[in-house]
Amino acid sequence: MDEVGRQLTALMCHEVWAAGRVIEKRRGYLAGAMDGTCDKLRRLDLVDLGSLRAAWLLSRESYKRDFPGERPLLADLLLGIALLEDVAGVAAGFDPTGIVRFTRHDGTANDQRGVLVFASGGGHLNWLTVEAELTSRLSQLIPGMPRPRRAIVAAVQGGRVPNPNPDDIAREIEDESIIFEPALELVDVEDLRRKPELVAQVVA
Amino acid sequence: MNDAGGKLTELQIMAAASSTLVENGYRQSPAPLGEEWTAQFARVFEDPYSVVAVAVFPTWAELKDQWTAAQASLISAMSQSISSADPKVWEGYLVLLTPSTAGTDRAILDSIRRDTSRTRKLVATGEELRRVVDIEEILGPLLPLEANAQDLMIPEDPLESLASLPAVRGIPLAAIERVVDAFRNQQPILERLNRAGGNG
Repeated sequence: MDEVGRQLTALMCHEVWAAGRVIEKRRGYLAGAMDGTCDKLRRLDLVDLGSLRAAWLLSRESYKRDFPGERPLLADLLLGIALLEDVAGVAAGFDPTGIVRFTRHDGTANDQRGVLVFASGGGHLNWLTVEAELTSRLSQLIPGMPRPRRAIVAAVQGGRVPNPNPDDIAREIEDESIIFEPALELVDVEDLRRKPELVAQVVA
Repeated sequence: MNDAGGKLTELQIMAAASSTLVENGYRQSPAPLGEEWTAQFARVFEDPYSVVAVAVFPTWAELKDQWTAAQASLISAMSQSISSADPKVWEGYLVLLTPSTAGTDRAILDSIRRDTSRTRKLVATGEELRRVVDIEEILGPLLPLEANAQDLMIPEDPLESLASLPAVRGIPLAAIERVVDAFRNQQPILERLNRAGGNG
């Protein structure tokens, strides 16, 4: 049974990798950039991979089936993770909650800036909806679990929009606090591609 | 419960919420909350201090699934005419209502209520919305405070009535006035009395 699960996981990861290769060719990215990232994704078991899909695609379900049409959305995020790994010299570790922990290649953990959450707008959710979805999901994390301060998003309809409303209406913005979590900051994966220097700010 | 004794309908909930807000000084925006919402089930209201979006969902599942989109629409609507420097951006309210019950999703319901990012959320499901009057209670935080004129009257200054108290009977009025004056000006009271020479 475990072996069947492993084979299915490998097959699903391969399909996402194949979708990523199509994106690489179409957009002219360096071929093979996400090969190592997909290898790490394969370490998840079948159920955790389904949970990760659900989290990244902002599904209401705790497990999301593999749909061919959604593979490019997952591949887009994996390409973003591969970019972070490559530019910052870190390695990604996947969590079924959609959170990715980046560690240095010597195995030492990064500080909290190395904990990021990823999500896709699926091409139909706008920036503000994705932000609200992620903020709501992170508030339901198990206590004690490191809460990411930044989210890397892709396929968000309409891109970033101006937003006059305060991050949190219950309090003024505080840069550093041991009591309050800072508001989640969203970064578009395309911004990271256009300005690789942003990568250092995100995961350094 | 409606007049027929059944569950409130979405239309009844929206009608009651709208009339409650309008009767309390809110004006309804002629524009809908957003392109994806019909005015029948999502409306925007404004008063001099706040902006309120009311969205009514047929089921809890739809509320749970779409409240983030409703919030996004409210923020978009606010961003079109309100700058980040306007205090009104701190007073954005999202009222999410459904006649259906949340069932075992109470934790999710509570997490939406506690979520203060961007806007404050007022959420009510079939458990709370049994009668039309319940809607006014849900909207209570958005309505002007009810206070009668008597409560708002400033009581008489107790220092003014000092001279009429039985405890100071027999003390010259001028001395009382000096004591009160010294107290008001945060000056030494005994010194003022001594300077007056003890002659009242």
